[in-house]
Amino acid sequence: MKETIFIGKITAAMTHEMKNVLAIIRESSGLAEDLLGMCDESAFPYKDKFQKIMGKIENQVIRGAEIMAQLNEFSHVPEVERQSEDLNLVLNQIVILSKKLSRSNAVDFIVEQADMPVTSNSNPLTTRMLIFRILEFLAPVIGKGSEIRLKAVGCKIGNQGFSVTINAPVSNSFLLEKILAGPEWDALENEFKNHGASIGSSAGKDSLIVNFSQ
Amino acid sequence: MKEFKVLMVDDEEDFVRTLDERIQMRNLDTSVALSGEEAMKKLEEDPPDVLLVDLKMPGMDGMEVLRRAREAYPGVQVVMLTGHGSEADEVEARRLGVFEYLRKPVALDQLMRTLKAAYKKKLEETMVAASFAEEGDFDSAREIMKGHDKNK
Repeated sequence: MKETIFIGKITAAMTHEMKNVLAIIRESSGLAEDLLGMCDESAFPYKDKFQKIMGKIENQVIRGAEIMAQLNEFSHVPEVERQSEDLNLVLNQIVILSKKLSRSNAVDFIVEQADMPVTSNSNPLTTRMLIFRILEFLAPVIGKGSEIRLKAVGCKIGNQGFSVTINAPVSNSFLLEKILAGPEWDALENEFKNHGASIGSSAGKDSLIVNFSQ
Repeated sequence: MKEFKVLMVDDEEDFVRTLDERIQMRNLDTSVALSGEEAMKKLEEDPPDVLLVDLKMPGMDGMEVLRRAREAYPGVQVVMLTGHGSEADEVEARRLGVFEYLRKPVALDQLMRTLKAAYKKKLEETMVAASFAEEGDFDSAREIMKGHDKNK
């Protein structure tokens, strides 16, 4: 735990630095854009092209800022053993921080926002790790261009747990069978079990459901 | 004629100088301080209408600048712009009377809107405080200038 807190501290400090770096890039590019705006098209024939470049820089700064904000929040996760939090926000965070995984497998991770907050009370690091593990497991096997849709589902009466429904194209029975029969699936099931969670297919065999105990 | 005065406080010199240039181009009278201590000196010499301050700086940090500025110069509105802020920092800044708490990197349009709104609030508070002072109620006038209207 001390080690993960240490990694978190360094990450938090560096995300702050990166926010400053992004702020300097944004203002410098903005200043260049301001100056460009004062230029006559005839005096500077590349004005249009430069403005497009500035637009790209601005978009990348926004993208970087969003990643840094989520990474900063993530870096504080190991500091607490247990906490109440809205699973919708957790799913958003994991999806944003898994962009690389999503891109390299050419699949989309989409959070289906629940209408109400779905509050979990658990180890926040374990919850995130298990959600990431399922994405990591599914992304390479579901096929390029597919979507993995995540939705938090609240506690049922008498059940102190909460679950995340994962809708991927596993309604294709062949694919689902293949996923469930593979040796990696057994390892994944065990990993979830070791963390007090479970993973399985839904009754309708059209999605995967991760159940977490509180 | 510049619209109003803004003092910007940030130890990231590249950031604050560039921002200074951009805001000047938008017709505000700006000046820069690179530390909390320098900001307090500038506040004493020539108080701005709005103070734009970073939170984390070596030496006197933005929270202390906010606290001292609101105490000694209640007419000056303070906007915090930070890359380091936690929710607890935001709560504390609001308790101390910050006008707005923004996170870096911020879009210039949003920052300009915030600075103008802060200046508008300063003008409104000054006018209300002046009307209390005219009636001889200096305590209320002072409280309003601190942003805590005791009659509310």
